[in-house]
Amino acid sequence: MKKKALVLTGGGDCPGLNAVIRGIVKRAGQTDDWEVVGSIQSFDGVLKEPTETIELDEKSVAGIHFQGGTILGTTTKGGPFAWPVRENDGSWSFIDRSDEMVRKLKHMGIEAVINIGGDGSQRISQKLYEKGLNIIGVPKTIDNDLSSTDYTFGFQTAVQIATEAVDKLVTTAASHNRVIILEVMGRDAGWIALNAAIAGGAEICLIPEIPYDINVILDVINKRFTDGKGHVNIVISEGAKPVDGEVLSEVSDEIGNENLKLGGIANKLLNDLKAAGCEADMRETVLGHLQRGGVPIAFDRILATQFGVKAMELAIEGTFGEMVSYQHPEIVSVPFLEAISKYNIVNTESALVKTARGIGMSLGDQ
Amino acid sequence: MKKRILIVNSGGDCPGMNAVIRSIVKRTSLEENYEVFGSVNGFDGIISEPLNIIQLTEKSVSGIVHKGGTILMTNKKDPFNYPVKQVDESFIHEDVTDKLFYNLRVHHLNAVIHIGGNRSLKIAQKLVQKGVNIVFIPKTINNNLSVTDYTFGFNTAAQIATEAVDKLTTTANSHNRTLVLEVMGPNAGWIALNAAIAGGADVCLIPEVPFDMEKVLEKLKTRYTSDGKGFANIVVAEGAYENGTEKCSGPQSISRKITARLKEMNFKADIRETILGYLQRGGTPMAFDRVLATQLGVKAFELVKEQNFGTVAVHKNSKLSHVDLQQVIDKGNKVHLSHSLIRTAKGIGINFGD
Repeated sequence: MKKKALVLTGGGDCPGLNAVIRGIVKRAGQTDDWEVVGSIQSFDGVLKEPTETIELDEKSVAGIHFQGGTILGTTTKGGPFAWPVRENDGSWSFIDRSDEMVRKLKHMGIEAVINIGGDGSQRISQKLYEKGLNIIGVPKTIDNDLSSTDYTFGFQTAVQIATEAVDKLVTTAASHNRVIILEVMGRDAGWIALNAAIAGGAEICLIPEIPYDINVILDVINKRFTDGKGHVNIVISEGAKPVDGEVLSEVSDEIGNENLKLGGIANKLLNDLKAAGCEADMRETVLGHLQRGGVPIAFDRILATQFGVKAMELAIEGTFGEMVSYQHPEIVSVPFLEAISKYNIVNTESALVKTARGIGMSLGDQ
Repeated sequence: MKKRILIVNSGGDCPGMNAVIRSIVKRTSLEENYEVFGSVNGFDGIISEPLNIIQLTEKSVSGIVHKGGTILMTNKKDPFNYPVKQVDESFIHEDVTDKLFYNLRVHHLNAVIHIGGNRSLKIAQKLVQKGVNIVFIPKTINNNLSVTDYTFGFNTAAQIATEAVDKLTTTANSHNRTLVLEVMGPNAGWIALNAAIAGGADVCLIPEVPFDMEKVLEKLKTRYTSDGKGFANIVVAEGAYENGTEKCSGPQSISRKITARLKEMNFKADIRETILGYLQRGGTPMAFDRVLATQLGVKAFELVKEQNFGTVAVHKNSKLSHVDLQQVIDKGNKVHLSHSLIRTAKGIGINFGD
């Protein structure tokens, strides 16, 4: 009988997830003794009765590497340690079903679990590993905010989409002498905003790492209108905040989703600028989930395929408790504890920030 | 008087060159005492009579970040072996670097930022020995410079080649065909390798791995068995070659040669070839390349400002840094068989004909 690897995707979707799944399945297909099953909607597929898993063979993953999303489905809520249960009074409570799940996986004959997900998912991986589960992690974050890997797949696609948005907004801003504010993803890290601002040629970029001063922004705008081009493009991360203010967020109404829902900062900035006396015609665009959808660019498909193959190889050699990682030019693996220990936020002294300032871009602080 | 910088680009064009030029100019304009010029048409601009150099201001570089090609135009002429037109219209190759040096001095062009590939790098090394103050920015679509992790333009080329594989996959599938896609890469197979993985090709042939036609045929046949897909995609680098034969040159092309060989070997499938050619150099650079190019432009200016000449601005080990130009003996960044990409490709069953 063949050994079984279980693959699942958790957290927000991300272009490249399918390429990872395909990489895992095709790598397993090169061996004689491994087969792969997928759990539908993260761990839910295992925990549900009846179990929702599907067999993954080469045929089922053919041609999926250029599809966005994940064929396995995903969820941002719950998980084995906090399974939502509806009480009689209609409220929700959460129970720990992790031991039950580990037992069930053993019963299903699963010899390796490959968990593709962000830092939240990998925290769950570590806890499951401590319970004796043979588990391997594949990092996934569109925000590129994991420090133990040079890049995560999906990020470059998001940057590309945001950059193309800037390209388009530049020509319309120029034609109408407008100020156009583009809000992009980035809760704690401004990577997407900063890269898109540099690549697209925005004048102002506001990121969570550098709280902005509304008066500085107003000065930059006024200068562009008096002795410059007469239009301004601003790229702002959803997690950006003014020096004296807070991040705009609300509690998600999805049950068990602990992440706050961010958004609305572009609109706030527009209103604050107006209140501060900005006379220019201003418009806002919120890119939203366009950044997560669609065809992954080649870079991300390659990185995702590399991760998938490496994860399967770790399973084959019996290395568990680790997450695959890209450290140019190598694909390596690092222990979960190391992988989730710190965030990768934009260092204000980094080359990328220096480059932005070097081409005259304002980061809202000076 | 302001200090003057001359930008020279030479060699083939590459998406991202305009982003570099723009970045240098924008960085320079933050300084009071610098101004920047561009030599039109490679070294021609600074050698020709009259000179053909243009002042570059923020205005002249506005809105070029996403444009392919180079606003300065480029060519592959070498000032150490430069074609000089004679009275009878014929050309004699001469060393015109004394004139180049003189023109730089007369026009107070104290520093040169030279954007170029492998061949340009060697020219820059010799110019430094003559006393020209050069900061070099590497540029090659083939990613075949080992001083830097990536060169700008490469990711755009890999993306274009990947999109070609995407398209060819659906048509191959619909007609049960075998499609051969020939991409750039005379000495290094990076574009082919990346596009084959990203696009999901079955066979990838690169210059670093001379291929065995029997092995290729064997792989193709598995695609046409009862449990195969009934179609196949081959991505081949222009410099790939069959074991025991020479590289193709001139009007020959490796993709046509592969088709002919497969027919000769009685492979029954319908085979078509596509040669991607200059589509890989044109068009809008990807965000990745624009960011990389912008970073290198700013870095190059800073090296000039620090008077740190005879250097190459690079992005190495994921960090922006510089290396000594004379120390760069670039053997070309070839695909090593131990590279993680080869391992990945083989891991998903891509055949290299070996």
